Amino acid sequence: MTRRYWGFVVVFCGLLVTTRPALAHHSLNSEFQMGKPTELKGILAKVEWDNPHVFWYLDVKDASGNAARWSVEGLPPSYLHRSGVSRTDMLALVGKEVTIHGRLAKDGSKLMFGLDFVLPDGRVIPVGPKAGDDNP
Amino acid sequence: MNHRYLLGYLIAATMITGVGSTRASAQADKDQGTKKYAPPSLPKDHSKPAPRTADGHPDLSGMWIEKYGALGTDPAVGKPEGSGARSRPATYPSDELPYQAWAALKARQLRDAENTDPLLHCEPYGVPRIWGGPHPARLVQLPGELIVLYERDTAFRIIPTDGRPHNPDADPSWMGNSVAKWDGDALVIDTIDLTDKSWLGSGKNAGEGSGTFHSDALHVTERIRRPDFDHLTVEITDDDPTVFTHPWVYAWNMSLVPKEDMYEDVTCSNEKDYEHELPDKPAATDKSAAVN
Repeated sequence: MTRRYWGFVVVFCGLLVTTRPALAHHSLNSEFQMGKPTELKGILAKVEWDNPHVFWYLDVKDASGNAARWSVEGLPPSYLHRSGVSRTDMLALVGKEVTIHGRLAKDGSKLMFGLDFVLPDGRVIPVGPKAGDDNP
Repeated sequence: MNHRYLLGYLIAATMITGVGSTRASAQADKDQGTKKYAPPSLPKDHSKPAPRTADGHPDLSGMWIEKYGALGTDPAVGKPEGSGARSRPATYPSDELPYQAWAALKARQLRDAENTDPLLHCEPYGVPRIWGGPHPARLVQLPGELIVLYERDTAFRIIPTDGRPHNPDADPSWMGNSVAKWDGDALVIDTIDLTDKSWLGSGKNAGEGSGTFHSDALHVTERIRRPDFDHLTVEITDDDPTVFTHPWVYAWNMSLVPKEDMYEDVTCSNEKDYEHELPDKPAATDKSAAVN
């Protein structure tokens, strides 16, 4: 890994450290690899619109074509509602292919923190805290 | 210009206009899409005075929020490695509190342990951590009492304002034993008997606990003012001589959001994070602890 990349990791972790209040009750850095941007592409199987955090479940196929179910954690329902992302919007995506950008769990489990959805038509739905917002 | 050139010009102009309108339309769609995910703006007009109740005090009643949460897309997508990189030192939010040296060290160690936050153990926010952030609070000012309904933690307080003293037999609790009285246009809430199991939160960032423990000697004073129609000012003094060198004072403004809905906020309804929490930082040492 280059020094430039580490620099990016440092600043990006810093940005997300400052957004931790949004998560209300736990630390992102203690659970997710915040310095490693990643994406999952698959079929949205289920939405748990629940406290303290929304969860999406995504069926992702590996290179061999075998599907595995991933959990994608999001912000609290109230936070998403107030920013225009509703449960109804999300339930409408169940069964459809989506790409979710986020950060994988540190413990190696099939868990990711979701930052945005990209729909097949190119529309992007932000679902993560705004970077750099120190008191969202 | 002959007809052939004119026709070519018209076709080209039509194509350019068409592309332009398509681009404009696409941009409008994009803007609309972006707008959909933007929080509403908050009032900034200071011209209208705060209403008053029949007894002449400012009426604090209303739905108030410090700040709406804002959504953003993944900032790493489409960016070259290292773009805009700047170093940012790691900090302990608890260092901003006037902890005694031993307490500053303990607060750092609690944060390093990562899974020590009472919220992760399905415990309440408590006073004063319950305040602030992206969750509104609804204040209902009645003769002789103030009712505060917090969206955060789906919690409430009923605070006597009729001049009665603290209940001498109150048990330690998360919300404490509160009474309030008016000091000019400020309602001053005095709270004792708080359980030492709660954390203070990092100033107004209630969700960021960061090891901000306190003792059962904590005495919280909340001064609430309504300087104009659209704003509420909340100033909190946390006085805990067992862990602090001097009282810790912080304040912030809240804006009136009369049309806002209040959502249920239950910390442990579907809690799944605890099992994934992994401490990754070395424990703070005596040398690294800040002395305030």
